[in-house]
Amino acid sequence: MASYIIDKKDLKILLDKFLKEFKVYGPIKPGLDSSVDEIKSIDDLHLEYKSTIISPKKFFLPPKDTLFEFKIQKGNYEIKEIVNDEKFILFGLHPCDVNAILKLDEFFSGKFKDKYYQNRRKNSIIIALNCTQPGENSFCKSMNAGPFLYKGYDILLTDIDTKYLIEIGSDKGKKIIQGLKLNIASKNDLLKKEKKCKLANKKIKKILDPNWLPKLAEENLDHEIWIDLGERGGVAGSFPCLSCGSCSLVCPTCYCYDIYDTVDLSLKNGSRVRELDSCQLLEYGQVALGGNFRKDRKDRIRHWMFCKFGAAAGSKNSSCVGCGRCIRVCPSKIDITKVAKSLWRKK
Amino acid sequence: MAKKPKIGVFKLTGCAGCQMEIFRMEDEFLDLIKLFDISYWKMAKRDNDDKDLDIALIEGGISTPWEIEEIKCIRKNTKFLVAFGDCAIGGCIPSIRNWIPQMESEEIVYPDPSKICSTKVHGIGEYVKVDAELKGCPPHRKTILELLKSALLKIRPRLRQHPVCVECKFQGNACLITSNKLPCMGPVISGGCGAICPTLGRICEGCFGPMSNPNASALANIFRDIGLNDEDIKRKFRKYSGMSPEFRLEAGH
Amino acid sequence: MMNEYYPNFAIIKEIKKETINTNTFVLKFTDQKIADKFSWKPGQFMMLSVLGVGESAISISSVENDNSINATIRNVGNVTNSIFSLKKGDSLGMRGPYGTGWPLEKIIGKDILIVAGGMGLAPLYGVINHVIRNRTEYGHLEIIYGARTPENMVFKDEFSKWKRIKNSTFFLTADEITRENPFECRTGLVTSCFPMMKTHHRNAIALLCGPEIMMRFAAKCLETIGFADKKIYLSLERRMKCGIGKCGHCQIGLKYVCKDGPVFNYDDIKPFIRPL
Repeated sequence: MASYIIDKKDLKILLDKFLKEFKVYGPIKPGLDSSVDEIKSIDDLHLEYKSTIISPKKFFLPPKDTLFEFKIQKGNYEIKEIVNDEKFILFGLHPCDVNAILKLDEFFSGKFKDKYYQNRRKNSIIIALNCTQPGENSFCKSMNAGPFLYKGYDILLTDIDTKYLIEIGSDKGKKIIQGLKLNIASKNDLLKKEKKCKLANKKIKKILDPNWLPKLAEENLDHEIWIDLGERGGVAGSFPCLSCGSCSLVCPTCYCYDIYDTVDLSLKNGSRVRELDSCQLLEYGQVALGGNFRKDRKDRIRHWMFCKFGAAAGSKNSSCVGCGRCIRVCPSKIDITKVAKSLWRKK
Repeated sequence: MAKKPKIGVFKLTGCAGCQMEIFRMEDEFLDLIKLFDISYWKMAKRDNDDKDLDIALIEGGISTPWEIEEIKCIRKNTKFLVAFGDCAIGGCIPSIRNWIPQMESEEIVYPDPSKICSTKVHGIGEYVKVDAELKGCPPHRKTILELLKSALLKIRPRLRQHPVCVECKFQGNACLITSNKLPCMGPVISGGCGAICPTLGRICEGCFGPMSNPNASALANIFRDIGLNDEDIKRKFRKYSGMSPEFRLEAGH
Repeated sequence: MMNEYYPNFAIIKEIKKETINTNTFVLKFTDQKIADKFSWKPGQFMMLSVLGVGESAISISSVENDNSINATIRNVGNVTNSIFSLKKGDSLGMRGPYGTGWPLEKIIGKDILIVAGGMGLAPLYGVINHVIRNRTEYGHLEIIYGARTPENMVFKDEFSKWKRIKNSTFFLTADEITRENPFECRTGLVTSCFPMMKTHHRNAIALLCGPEIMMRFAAKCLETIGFADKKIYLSLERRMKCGIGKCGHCQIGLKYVCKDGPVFNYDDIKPFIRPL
């Protein structure tokens, strides 16, 4: 499909058109601790952001989500469906986050479909933004998830100095810019993108070989690194794990959730709720009679890392996209890439 | 309709803030009175009966020999005994006096300590079996309601003890430790508060007590790394739950 | 699009007492269409829910001609406790079946060794019935069932029938016998029956279900007497919330217990069930 360009100062025209028809969410702050929230005007939008604290998975898998409401009457039940049909645009997502969404797409489809996730996904439009300023924690390049994006977007923007290059990735994307007078991108503009891509790639300092990650997961169940990480002095300059769960809660591909019922004081009306959970918490593996399948901290941190290395949802591929959020958020400075490297070295 | 469960609310050594929290449940209070028979609650009623209670909410820790007798007596008369708030669980703020000699602390407060007979401050669990703990200083209204609803449904309440960090991330906050280099207690402290303080940019002080399986020594090391000295760290761990086994070493036992 | 999270409703047709804290509930979907469509394999499980309390994974022990489901439940937690407070004619939420079930087709023609502990007999009950019904398709059947005490055993009514199955052996063993011993139980762990076992590993498949520690030891003992890992199957328990492979709680190694299991080949999950 054709590519277009728009002057940075004209971005308002584009945004205003979207705002007429959709709710728009985008980065509302510059820097590493930005967050994706509602954008009401061009002044709210900070496309120069580096990363967000919470990943955009919150739009598809909210931390708290009501599955259905129910009414109990004389031993009979009545179930009330929850329908959420808000159509929305995610504006300015980085390639790592778009790739994470693609991984979640795969996970929430399959034999049993997750209606809640798929509904929200169907109602979403993704306007991605190629990442020209990857941070010190990013290792997206190694995970094949950035810094530039090649699939999964409806519209893709690339910052080429005074302009944005606009590429269309889907019919949805084509439809929403219909009627706008946009200039066709020149060969020079496309070359500029190439250059930007090379520059961005060079900025990434964290490198891993993703091919050996699944293998690491299989071969190092008993490695003493897990004891270091869980109980002793940490690994590669980190402190031991606090099992606070922050890493998995900010991770764009961690999807584990808990389900529970709540009722009002009449005990007649209630709802079944799902809430984001973390495998780092003691309660995660608990079953009746106080049994727990992952009682030790070392088991829990190992479980999480293996899941990121490649065990998630029975896949052989890593579910990590290298966004670096878990490294940024860890109070103990645990760095999953350093742990992987230590495991590899100590084989 | 089945008989209304009988509730008693008792106060030992504490500030009465936990009881106030029940009054604060303005939206639900009238419904609660309909559902429960409040049999004993000195703060709220004149005639009190402490016999055959279904549920007893105990506020406050144990600091005198009389209180030891009292809690044992309440235990005998109660089916389901709840340690209501941090004081009842582990002594909480009153227990900071455990770190100086008994006589000395009595002298600071009372002009004539010869008439005072106090013990070290402990949670009620030191003396009697506790069926449930409502963490917090004071506990959040939501957890109080959760416990009372569970009592009506005859199930165990869903009182998770995940760290404040979980709720902080639900709020979308930046981490005060990593982003601002502040000594936040969040990673070892039980949530339930909705991470109110970090959401307002203030560090977690630790008022909900230890989470399940906290790594207190690791957090102490992190605090040292961001510039706190050993005394600061001790004080932080002593403040709300210095007597808890989870924080023993860091509090300086 | 069907929403897999919505429970259908089922009515309690009958409650049979098994032990002091275990009952078999006979459950039938209230919607006849759902009941008619229902098909299952031994080893699969259902998600039962009491709205307002929660949901729990419960294995199917057998299914009757009118597609009523027999679920043998031990009263151990919030959901099971609430199910126990229900009476005949009450309704509860039910969805399923989920999971893989025992590889009944794969083991045709083989000798079958069943090792069960405590409640672990419930998911294997269907296998025993299947073998009885298709007796000629399978070789020797050996059942070893252990529990804490004889009183703690489930399906006691069936024992005399099982003792008379053609070409079979049946061992009962209890950790301790404190009161009467109506079924002539031996004392000891299930593994203590292995030396007397008739089954030879050459043409046999072992099916294990029980507490994880029991399965771990039983599998290890079977290995030492020559069973190949590939010939041992076991049914695992994990914390489950969704039952459909989404919530993540039951993950074990590369697998999800609810989706890829609960029945696993020992060869596939061996590294993940040892004490680490």
